[in-house]
Amino acid sequence: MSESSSTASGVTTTRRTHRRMNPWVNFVVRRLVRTVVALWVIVTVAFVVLRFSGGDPVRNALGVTASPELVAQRRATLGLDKPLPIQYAQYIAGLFHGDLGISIISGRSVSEIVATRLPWTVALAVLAFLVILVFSIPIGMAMAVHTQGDRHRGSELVFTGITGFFGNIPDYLVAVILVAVLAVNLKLFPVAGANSPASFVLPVAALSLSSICSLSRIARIQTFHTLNDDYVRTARGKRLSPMRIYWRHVMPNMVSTIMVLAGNTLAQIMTGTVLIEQVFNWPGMGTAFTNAITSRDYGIVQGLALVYGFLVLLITFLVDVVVALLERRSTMLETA
Amino acid sequence: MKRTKQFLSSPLVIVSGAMIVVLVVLAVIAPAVWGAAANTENPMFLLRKPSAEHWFGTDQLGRDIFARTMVATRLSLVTALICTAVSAVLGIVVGAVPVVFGKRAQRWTSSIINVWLAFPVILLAMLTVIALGTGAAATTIALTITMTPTFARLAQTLSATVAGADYMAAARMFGVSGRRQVFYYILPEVAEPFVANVTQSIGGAILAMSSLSFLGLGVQPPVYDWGRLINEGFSQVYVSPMAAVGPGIAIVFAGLAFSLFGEGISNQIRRAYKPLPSAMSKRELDNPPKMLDKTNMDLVVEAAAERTEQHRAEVERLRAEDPQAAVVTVPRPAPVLSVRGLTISFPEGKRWNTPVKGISFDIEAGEIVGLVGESGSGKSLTMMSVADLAAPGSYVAADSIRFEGTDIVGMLPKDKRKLLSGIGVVFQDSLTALNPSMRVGRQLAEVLECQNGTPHREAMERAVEALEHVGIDPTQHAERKFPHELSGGMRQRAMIAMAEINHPKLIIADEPTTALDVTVQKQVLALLRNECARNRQAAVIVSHDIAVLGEICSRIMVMYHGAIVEIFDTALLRTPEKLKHPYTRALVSSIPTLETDKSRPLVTIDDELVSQQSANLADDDAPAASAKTIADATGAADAAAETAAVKEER
Repeated sequence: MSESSSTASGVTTTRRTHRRMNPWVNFVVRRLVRTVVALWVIVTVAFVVLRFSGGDPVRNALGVTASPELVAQRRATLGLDKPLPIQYAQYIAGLFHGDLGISIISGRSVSEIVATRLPWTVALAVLAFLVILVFSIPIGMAMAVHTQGDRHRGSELVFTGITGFFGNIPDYLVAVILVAVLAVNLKLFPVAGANSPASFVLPVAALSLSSICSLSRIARIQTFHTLNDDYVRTARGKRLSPMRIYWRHVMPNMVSTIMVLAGNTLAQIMTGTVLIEQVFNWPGMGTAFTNAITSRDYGIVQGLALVYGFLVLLITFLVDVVVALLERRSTMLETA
Repeated sequence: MKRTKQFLSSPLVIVSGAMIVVLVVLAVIAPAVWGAAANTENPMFLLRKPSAEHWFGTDQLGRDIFARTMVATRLSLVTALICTAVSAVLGIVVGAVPVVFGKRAQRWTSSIINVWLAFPVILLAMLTVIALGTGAAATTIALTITMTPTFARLAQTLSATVAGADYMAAARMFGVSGRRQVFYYILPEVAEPFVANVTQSIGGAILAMSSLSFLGLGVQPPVYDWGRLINEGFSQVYVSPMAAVGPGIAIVFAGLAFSLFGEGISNQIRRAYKPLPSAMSKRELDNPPKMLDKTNMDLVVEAAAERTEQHRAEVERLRAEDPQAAVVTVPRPAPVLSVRGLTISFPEGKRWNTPVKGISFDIEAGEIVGLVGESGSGKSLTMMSVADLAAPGSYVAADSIRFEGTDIVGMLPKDKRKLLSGIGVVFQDSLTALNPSMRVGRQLAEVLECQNGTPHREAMERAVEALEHVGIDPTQHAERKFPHELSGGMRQRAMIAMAEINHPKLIIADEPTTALDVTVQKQVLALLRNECARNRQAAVIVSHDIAVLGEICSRIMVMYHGAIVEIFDTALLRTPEKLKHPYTRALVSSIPTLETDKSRPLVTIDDELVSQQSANLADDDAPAASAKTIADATGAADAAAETAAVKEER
């Protein structure tokens, strides 16, 4: 209900002062341009990498034993026998039709690989993302309230110590340790694969641990800033219960900051899955990606790199737009 | 150097610094010490578990993994250092240098950095590795490419603040050359925070580098770094987990060392601009200064006696008018708020800073009292502490703070909250004091919902009524707006409505008109006075403007350097010579009136003269009251009130 009424008031204000509409559209357009440019750079880099990475990529991928006919045939399917500008044009045109290229080795369509593997990767990333949000923000806020005004120095030290330590362990190492302890020794969870819901536990834990630590630190600092705002004192002056103050007055004013942090985190774990999937032999894009790199199947690498790049840029762009919508005081629009 | 000494005072810096020294020593000596063991293949000891001989076990060729981990320190560290250093330098070039070339260059580099930053890090690194081939050099270049934009952005933000500074404008005006600007003006300013960040990034570089090697994209055999060792060890994680975890420990150690060091340095930099944190023990903090001996009970007693006298005169006047009234007792109003020996302190290092020094005062039901003082005199702090809204970090001690007869000192937070809902607070700046993301109507209604449990719909109706009461045109539907959509005057009215909505016994208004322009000030003051009269509320108005207080208050309390120096009837404003304290006299005579001679400069207050005179005054007066005399004096004030009551009954 409040959501619909807030947009309604937004409309009335923009209608009344027409000039206020412009910076917002301007902002979104500029962000869109930035996203498109970055996407184009990724597309081009991927194209160039495939064509210029030392020697003949087709020969490299198929191996020295492959017959010259096979190599020539694969080159033709890949369109590598045409002049570069035409290759580039065909490649771009293909992208618009959802054609992400083909595997050099098997000749399979990359779009097909993506269709079967993307859901697994997204499921992993989104689950980890939710776990991160559910833990880090309440922990950060609670620690801020607990240690406000230099109180409880002891727990502050413990908090910064623990988060500092675990925040500095790379995700893949957490994964290795989890596998060694919980899967191999204690046999609590499957070591690899994605055959049961229990298979999700370790990869999600490995993906989220260090992010929970670093994000809860940032959430704590942000909460400090918000707790110092005047309206929090006003809320205390109204003798509201502490819980109501935190949830109704502090939290809503942190939403945009939290959104930015969360968006960055989601973008980060989206690519972070590449490493984790490798550890757990997860049936997602990351495993296919690393395998393609080691077997030098640059057709797959190019296609998957585009998908990853697109996902990350899309998330960043959406977060920017949502935050701009949330930010009612148009201050950030001027600085952005 | 002083700065170095400051950094070394932090235990975080010392510990992490020691860890870095260990790493550096290992990087230098490890290949010589463990080099042989690391490369000796031993077919007798393949894939062994950790033992006393082989702490991390052995790999598939029988090589000692601990030795290999130690040897790998050099390569892991050197590659991380190189790419951090190179990208830091590149970052400065891309980020800071365009500042001297003007706005256009800055805009261009800014958008390049933006697109660069939008790139997913691992992806960029992977594509670079593919293009350049695997190996230590390629990985280093790849990481450099991914790290540069972060540094560029940092250098850009830091130097933009410097470039905006006035002394840079001056330097440009004097024709300082671009090169000189960069080396003598910008770099020294941005150096410290930049270095702190770079140090932290070395940790990040070690982790990132190891991730690439772990994926098999980094250094290739026979060369190995920590990531490569984990990659190799991971295949035997079922047999001997230590083969992968061992090199992992080294990575965590190194990552932690650098990021803690960077954090320690930036903490110290920030600390240099912050007041000293408290260095007191818990016991000391539990006993903040009380300063009861310095309290102003004499003034309170005097004021109480004066009020009693006034009350008696009033009763007598009534009696003269109508002898029948003699049978009706008119009780002298009891104080709604009574503060004794309020002391507020902040811990600063090993000492207490005490801005409010044991003050006492009474506020009677239904009266409007002004609290005046210069900024920093502690007036707002006093009233906020009374309302239990003092900033965290302040320590409040008092003999007693009675609201409607109940002492709130030492009360449980929950009970205190319930009791103090009888105090409505009007804050200074209505723009920041109202919640920017909540509609005005909701902010009013929630007071009723939380304090009385009023149902939502009814509370909203009362909120609309309350807004109408304070003179906001109901057709404007202020209740549906966000605070920033209202004008300053309207916001302050809404704020008053919010403080009044549940009919509190006492209103505390902290500089309610300071943020408003003069015409609106008048309206808001009149509104405050009328609302208090209508609801028979007492009010304390805090202000630095004695002229404003004179308009609506019946009594004025004067605060000077954390103490109440005078409590007087507003009528005395017209005869400043009758005022006792030199500061009050100076304050009152500095109010310009229509008769003020405009050819002469406005009167200012000479602080030195005032303190000299007040010292003389203190000498003349009886010595300051002791803690015991507070109790006596309180009794005296109460007794004075009682006598009045007795007299009435007679």
